[in-house]
Amino acid sequence: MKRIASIVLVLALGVVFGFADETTEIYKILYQQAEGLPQKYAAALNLVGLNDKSTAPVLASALDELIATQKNYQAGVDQELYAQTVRLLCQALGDYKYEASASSLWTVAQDVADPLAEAEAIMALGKIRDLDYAERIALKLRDLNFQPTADRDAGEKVAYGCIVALDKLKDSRGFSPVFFAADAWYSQRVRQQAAQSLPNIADDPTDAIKAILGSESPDRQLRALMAETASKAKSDRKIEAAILALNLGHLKVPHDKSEAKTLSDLRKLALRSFIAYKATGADPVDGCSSSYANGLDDEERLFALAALGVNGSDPAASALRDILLKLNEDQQAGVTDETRNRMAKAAIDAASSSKNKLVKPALVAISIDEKWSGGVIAAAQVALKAMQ
Amino acid sequence: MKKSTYLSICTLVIAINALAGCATPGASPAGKAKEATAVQKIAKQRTVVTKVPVLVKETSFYSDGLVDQYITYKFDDAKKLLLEKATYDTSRSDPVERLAFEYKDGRETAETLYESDGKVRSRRELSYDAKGLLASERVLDSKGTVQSSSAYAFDAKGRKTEWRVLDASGSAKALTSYVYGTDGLSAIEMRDIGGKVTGTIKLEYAAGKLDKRSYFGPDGALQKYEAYVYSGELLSSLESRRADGSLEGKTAYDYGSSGELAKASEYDASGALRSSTGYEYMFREDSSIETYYE
Repeated sequence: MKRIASIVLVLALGVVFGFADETTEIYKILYQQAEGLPQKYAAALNLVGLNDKSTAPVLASALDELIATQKNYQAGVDQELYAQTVRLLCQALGDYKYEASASSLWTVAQDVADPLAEAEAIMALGKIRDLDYAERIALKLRDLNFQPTADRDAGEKVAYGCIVALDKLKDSRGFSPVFFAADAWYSQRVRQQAAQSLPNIADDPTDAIKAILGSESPDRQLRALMAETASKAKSDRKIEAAILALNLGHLKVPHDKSEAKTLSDLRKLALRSFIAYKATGADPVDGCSSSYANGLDDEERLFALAALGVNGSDPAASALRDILLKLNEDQQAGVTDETRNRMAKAAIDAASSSKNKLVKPALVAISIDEKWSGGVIAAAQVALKAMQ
Repeated sequence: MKKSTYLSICTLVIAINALAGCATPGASPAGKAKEATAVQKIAKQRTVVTKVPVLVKETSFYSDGLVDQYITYKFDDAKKLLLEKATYDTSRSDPVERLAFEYKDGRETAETLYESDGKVRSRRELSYDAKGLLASERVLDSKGTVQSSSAYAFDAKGRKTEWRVLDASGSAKALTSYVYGTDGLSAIEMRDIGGKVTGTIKLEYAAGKLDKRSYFGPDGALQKYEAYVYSGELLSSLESRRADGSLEGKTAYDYGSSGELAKASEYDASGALRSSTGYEYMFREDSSIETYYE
């Protein structure tokens, strides 16, 4: 015989819940009584090890005292222990989200000449989510991104701290510096952290991304648009960025084949965004028409046709009509090949999905032109039927 | 040193095992008496399976519901000994820190705290007396240098009566005494090494449950207190109050169907949510043989 018992737990108070108790009180007193850095470090180690939020005010005043006495600890061993103690305190204050310590943490970030302590203080500010420091941290990272610091390792540590903090702060001002950190001079670990943090920083990074699109290289433009499509921005905002990207992708004259390919990838991504987010209206049309006319390859041209079809507006339908009529004109003139047939079929499909009567005359013209293959004519007839 | 959540879980498991143990009638005088009175009945045995919640994940949330960090707990195959506690920040893929536990004869002997880069930050070593009670512990830094230590004394009932804190050189720095009343621990007196009182904590009980914990300064003046509010047997909230009785903050507790702590929510004095922590468990099934009579 088997019996299942589900026990209702009588929880041992003070132990299960980790309440403040005498250990907290004792270590608080011991820290306050500690003389000399080694004693302070030992007391901090115990105090922080308690994982008790009620110690935060004591930790904050300990940090203030250490900041004020930094000049007393310039010798090698002292300096190391000083930095370790500051790090311990900063991390705990961040973990406890002790808002009152924000200005002290920023002082550490500015004045303490130890990169790990500086990074820890910045990350703690991130954990506290004090938005007053978002811009300052963003500027610090921006400056670090420009060029390697004299001590590369030190610069990397601080940059890492800034990225993690900006990730936590979730303020759009942090987007650009983290974006640029992802391909800056740092080691792979830091760059990967930037790439990983980027989508978390702002739900709608469109404004920052548009600024990047307007001023950066094709590689970065492409990466920016990818970030936009992966973001939580609303569809209309994603379309807004895609329109800008597509137009800029046509304006820029590539230096070489590689850049031409990147620009084409940028345009294709913009066109795919139009299709995915069902971009309508006149704004995307010129870019789509340019991609059809001047696209690097057939794929770009096919995306352009599909985007015009999804659009469905009068300007988009007019563009599709003109494309179909031109194809028909060429066909009648004897200019024919497999690619044109493929484009014609795609344009007919797009015209059909546009559900706009403006395309009808072009579809009628193709459907009665015997110079087209049976497949194209049948497609035009089906499209016409669907529009009735 | 104060027990944090990982020890809490161990305690939780021990507490439940103790409860399960009490279910075996033959183990106690009361059980023997019952056995005697039940002489006309037939003794039968059955397997009792006790479901024990074992904490596997703890997630901290900001007041707006955004996840701040989470902690994962790894146990041995028997799901009894906590082997590792790893803390993750949502913005980083590697653990921010990792605490690894060591055991000997089923007792924790050490825990080592590692930084995110895998370097040791600190280590705590524990030793026990012949009765298996925690006799001392010491805290070492990243280089293995002792930074401080603690020594404990117990009464004949195994209750802690003294805690002595020593510095790196072994000199005593503080002495804490524990006084017990009928309900349990009633007072904690903290003194410096010169014997001067640095603070006192008094514990009051109601219906056998801890009701209030008051903190007094060296001058004997009340500094703050904590009030415990229950719903049935379970603590529903803990209020931190200033000496004048005004609320400083409150933590409210929610429980799962097995009585396990499911959520702790922290509120400030105005009642605004500051943060919360969610707890996730796996369930261990402990089997034991129970004798019963028909």
